[in-house]
Amino acid sequence: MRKSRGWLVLVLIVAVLAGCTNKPANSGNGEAGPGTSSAPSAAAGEGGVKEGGTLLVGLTGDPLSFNPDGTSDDFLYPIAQNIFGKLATINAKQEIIPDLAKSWEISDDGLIYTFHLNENVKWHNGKPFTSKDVKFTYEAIKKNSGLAVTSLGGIKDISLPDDNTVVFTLSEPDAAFLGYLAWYGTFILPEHIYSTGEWASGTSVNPVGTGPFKFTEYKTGVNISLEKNPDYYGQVPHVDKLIFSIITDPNTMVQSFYNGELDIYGGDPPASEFNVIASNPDYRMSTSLWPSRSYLLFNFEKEPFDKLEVRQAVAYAINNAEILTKAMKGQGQVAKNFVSPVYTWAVSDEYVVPSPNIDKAKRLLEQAGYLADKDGNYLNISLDIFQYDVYQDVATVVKDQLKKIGINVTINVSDYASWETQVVNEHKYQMSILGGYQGPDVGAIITRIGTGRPSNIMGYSNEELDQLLKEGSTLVKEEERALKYAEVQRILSEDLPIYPMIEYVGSNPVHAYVMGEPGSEEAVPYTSPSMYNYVWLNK
Amino acid sequence: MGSYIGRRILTGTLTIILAIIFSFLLIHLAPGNPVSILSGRDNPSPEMEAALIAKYGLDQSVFVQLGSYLKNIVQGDLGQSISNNRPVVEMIAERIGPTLLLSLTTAILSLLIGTALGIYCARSAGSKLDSALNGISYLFDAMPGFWLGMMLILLFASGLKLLPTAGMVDLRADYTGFAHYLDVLKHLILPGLTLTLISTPYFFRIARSSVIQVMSEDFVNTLRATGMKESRIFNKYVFKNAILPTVTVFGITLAYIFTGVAIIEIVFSWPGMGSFMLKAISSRDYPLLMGIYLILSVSVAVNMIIVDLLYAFIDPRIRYK
Repeated sequence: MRKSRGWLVLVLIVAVLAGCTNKPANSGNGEAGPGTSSAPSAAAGEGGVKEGGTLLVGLTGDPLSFNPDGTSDDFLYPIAQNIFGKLATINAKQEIIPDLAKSWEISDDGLIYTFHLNENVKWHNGKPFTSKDVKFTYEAIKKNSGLAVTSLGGIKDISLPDDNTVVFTLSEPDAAFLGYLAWYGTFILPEHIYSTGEWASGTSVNPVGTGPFKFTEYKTGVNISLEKNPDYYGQVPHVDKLIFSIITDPNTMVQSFYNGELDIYGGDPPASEFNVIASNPDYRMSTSLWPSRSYLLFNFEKEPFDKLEVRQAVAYAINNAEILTKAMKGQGQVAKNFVSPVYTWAVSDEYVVPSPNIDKAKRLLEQAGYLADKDGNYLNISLDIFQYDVYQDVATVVKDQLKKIGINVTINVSDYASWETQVVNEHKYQMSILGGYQGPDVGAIITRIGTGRPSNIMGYSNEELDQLLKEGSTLVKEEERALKYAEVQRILSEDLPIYPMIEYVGSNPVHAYVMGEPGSEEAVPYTSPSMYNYVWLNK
Repeated sequence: MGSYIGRRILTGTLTIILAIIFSFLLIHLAPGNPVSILSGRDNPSPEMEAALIAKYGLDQSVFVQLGSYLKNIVQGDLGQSISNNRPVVEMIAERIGPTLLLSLTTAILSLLIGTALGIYCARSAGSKLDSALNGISYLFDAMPGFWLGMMLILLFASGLKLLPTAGMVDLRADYTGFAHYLDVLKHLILPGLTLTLISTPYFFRIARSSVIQVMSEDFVNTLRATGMKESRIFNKYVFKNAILPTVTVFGITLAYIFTGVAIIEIVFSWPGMGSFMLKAISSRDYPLLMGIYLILSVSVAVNMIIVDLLYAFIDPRIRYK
């Protein structure tokens, strides 16, 4: 009897706990809580912008520090875009737009960049922002080996004619300079804080910037909270609070989004959910083409890909359209060119990836000296990839396609760190898959194909190509540069060190009641992809 | 008794030291290095990498690094996290609370539920309820925690909208005081339920089989022959003998829950050491990872010592050996 009573108590406890959860969670200002799933239609906002409210955005991990110029940190980047400013920034259409600098001029020889700063800009602690902070930041990046130290290596001198003007002098023209300055690791830091604090730690967990939102709180593993900066020099945020909610598992994140615990997803949903979100009227998804692409890469130092014919055979075997539908579930765009199509002015329509042709592929393998065995197999190769998103699915489709031309593929999957050691450092592989950012200028492709460059994992080297890439980056006019990059694409289509498969299309789903998100028409001319000062909640 | 405790503590300490040396060598054997991961592939910066390698002494041999690590932990210094550049102790301190809350709640709940059900089933062994619960226990035992967690999210959060999907607090509402504790409790239900469902079978089966075993021993039959009431036989004689294996299993299971909680924390975005550990592994953040291993091995060792002492306390035969 005593035991069964104990049981009853347990059941009661559980019942009480469950009962507590039935109460609707109401937030302070009377808005419906996260349990409410009814999504008002977009038309409800015709009366105009509604001010106030709290915006919840998903974030897949804790930031490494609060110094936005220290190391590559995907988790800090979306937060930093709201707290800090750069001289210029890059919007969702990959255009360079003004930020702390309202305008700039470039001298005809491409050596002198003059930036005119917005006036009366204040740091979040009320201290005035001046050109001295800009100079300090760039010097600190150099001194502390910050993330952008290599790409900004061409700066010879920074002079400050007055508090609102900064003049950069380069040692040689660099067409990518403005892009690098607007991209990553170049957020302007407050000299009055960083001159005495420790660089690497971000001085403290209390970042002070000039951006549209001010930092208020960080709870590790839980959230980063910001509040609107009423003194912001641009569009003052419509929402009062911006909270980044840390959810590391993408499947949980997507359920959280469906459940209304997030207003904005905060990045790309898992490929499996892409079509679910795209077809549901409760959500909206603006997409934008990025200079990021997934490509196959071949090891030039090992059999069989040291032979051009084998690389060509693979190129004739791969069907990018099939990879897009089967592996990527339609998320992305088929790659046709040897440089990112974002840079329309540089793209050549003459030198493109070949159309699939199985017979031709087999003939090429025979030309390379391979003979088919009784099962029609010419050779066995391995495809070494790291665990990332849909790479395994892409590899499976590639394996399937190569099977058709008689190449047997073994797929090896490891974690990134192991892959890096094996493939990048030791070159112990035959074929691999890589993606990643190839901007902010078309010339950035040099880090992947230039002789001896850090991400040239292929061991590929072509002197003519190196020369063309160098010339392409030192010319200033796009028409002149385009000629050089057309030649670059010719060489890439001939040598095939890489085979581009899929263009990355970034998406950031929002609930239908979220207006003015970074990809929207009203926000694009003024904001970078994770800036939320134009967002308002139509509910 | 004194020497018994002394021996236990000595072996515990030795275990911890060996565990540290072993895991240090093991994680340094794994390919990959933290610095080039920090630098990224998109636009890697050799200057930045060189500066970091020098700072963290990663250019020295593994044994030199192990030596200085051991020296430092003796002085109470667990080092700096390479990717976060913050003291490891500070970072672990921020995360250990939620992990303890989740794992201890689960351990206690599954101990109570599992043992109670096990004893109940043992006393009616062979009944329909017994077979049913036995089957269910194998079912949950075989179920992967992350899958069960996701199913519970789909049912109770996304489907019925009764409970939150992720996290430990409602960020939008930002409760304080008593409402805050209720909010945490509400967020604790799904991860707690998942872990409890997969840990309870251990206690259930141990309690059930040991009660059945003790009940069939000669002394029980003798007691029955004296005409003693069945309930008195059980409460006074069987229970104490049958509970010994449960105590042992509790120690082992607690260690298992401590380490197994990681994956559940990730599924439910519970801000404990789980996601933290995963991140430290994938970024090869050696000092942070070693700090986590140290905490885990110390807690497992302490756990074992407590269990051994408890065991000796319950069963006097042990301490005289």
